[in-house]
Amino acid sequence: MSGEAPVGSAFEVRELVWRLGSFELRVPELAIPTGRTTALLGRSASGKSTLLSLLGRVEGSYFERPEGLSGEIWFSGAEERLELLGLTERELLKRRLRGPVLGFVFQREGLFPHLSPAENVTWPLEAAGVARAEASARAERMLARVGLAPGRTVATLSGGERKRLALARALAFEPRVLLLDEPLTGLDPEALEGLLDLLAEIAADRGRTIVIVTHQERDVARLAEHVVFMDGGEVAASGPREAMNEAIARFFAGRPVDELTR
Amino acid sequence: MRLPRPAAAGVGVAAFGREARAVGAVLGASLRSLPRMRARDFWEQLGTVALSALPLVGIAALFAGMVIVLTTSLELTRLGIGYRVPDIVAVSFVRELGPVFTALLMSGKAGAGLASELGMVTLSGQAQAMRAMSVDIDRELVAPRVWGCVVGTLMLTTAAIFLGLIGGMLLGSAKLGLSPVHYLNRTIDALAPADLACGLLKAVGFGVIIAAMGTTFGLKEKADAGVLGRHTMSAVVLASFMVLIADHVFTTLIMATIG
Repeated sequence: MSGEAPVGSAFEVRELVWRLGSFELRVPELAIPTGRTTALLGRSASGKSTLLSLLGRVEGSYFERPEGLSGEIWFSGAEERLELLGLTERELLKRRLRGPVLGFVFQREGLFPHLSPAENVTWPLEAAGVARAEASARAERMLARVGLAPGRTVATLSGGERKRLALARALAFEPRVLLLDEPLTGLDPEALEGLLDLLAEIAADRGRTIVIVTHQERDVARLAEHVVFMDGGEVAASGPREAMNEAIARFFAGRPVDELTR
Repeated sequence: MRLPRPAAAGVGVAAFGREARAVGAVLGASLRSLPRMRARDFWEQLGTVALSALPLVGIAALFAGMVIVLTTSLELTRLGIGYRVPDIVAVSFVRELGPVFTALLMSGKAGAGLASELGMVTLSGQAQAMRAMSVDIDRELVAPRVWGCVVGTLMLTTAAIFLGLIGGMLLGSAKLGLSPVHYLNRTIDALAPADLACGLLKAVGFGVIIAAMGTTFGLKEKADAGVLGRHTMSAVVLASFMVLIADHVFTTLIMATIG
């Protein structure tokens, strides 16, 4: 990225602690750069998805804010700078932050099985206040972009098609931030290449911040400009990809995360 | 590790407090989102809850009416007051049996239906995806189901009362040698408006209990299908249990107020 202007932070995490039974997520300080793609790397159960869910404020369940959660996550991608953890479910809904500003693609896609692929995109848009004609136009555009036919049923979609539909649904909101939880896991080589190309195209848009959880070196090489290593619920290392190339190579060679920067 | 008794009791009280808060949250959400609820969502849920359960509740009510006639007529005829059978069937069915057994059947059908349907929405990640897209879960899922269940229970109780009395009339008129018209006239004479008010007020209360249990257990976080099954069972058992307790409370309150 040499020669480019220094970027600000889309997210600034401060003194974040979340106790989940025997697991504890502890992030004293972390900055996620604006307009860049950040890869969250680490072994299974290192806290990547947990941190991502907090950045997107989709943690916990319908009923309550999880217990044992403290700290701050400052977000600069909205109209005003916001401390995300201080917002209640009702405030989040009222501000329509999630969806239109913070797009989230889940590892288990959370598709609506009783709706067609097109309706999977239009229904959330309409429910979130987008006019029907506009929602249909966006759905058509996004499904074409991910290469999905609108008229099929969700039950007949393959794993790769489900991932593409989940991505199309998130992109239809035209979010400024896209949070992706292992969007390329379990795909066949052809589907993987297609989706990777699409993500690379989306990542090239400097107006959009992307945070991706992945276990694949190929995804990091194609997409990431910034890397965060997680280990045991803590950030082990973070920085621009160019500065972390050696650590990335060691990580994918199977070296323990705590030895990456030694 | 076994906790000392006071600590274990504290954990139990805290868990009960969490459950009560969750039920309160569901009922509060259904009230707050009532103005935003779409009419077609309500009608759809009402159809799912009430229409689908009508054959079950109707047939059960018809036979329950006949069974009460059978059991009461035996004793009352022996005592020489067989002519009071329509009175007893009418009052007991309208005030107690109609609302209670409709609610128990609804706990099994609607309570389990709500808990399993919403449970699948939660387990499959749809509820989380809805939150992630600013979709109002209270308006889309909670309010139509809660109000559909409450109104559906009221409608089914009305139908159960009517069919129970018809069942009683069919068997009672034959068993007691009364004409159906005579039997019905005795039934109508035996009933006061307060009896009907009592039965229907209870139906509303039971509907709230069933909806609250089904919706609350449905929306609870689930790790796997086993938890979904346990939550569904808990919704049915707790709703049935609470209906029976609430019946006693409602009866006491209603008798103290409207008689």
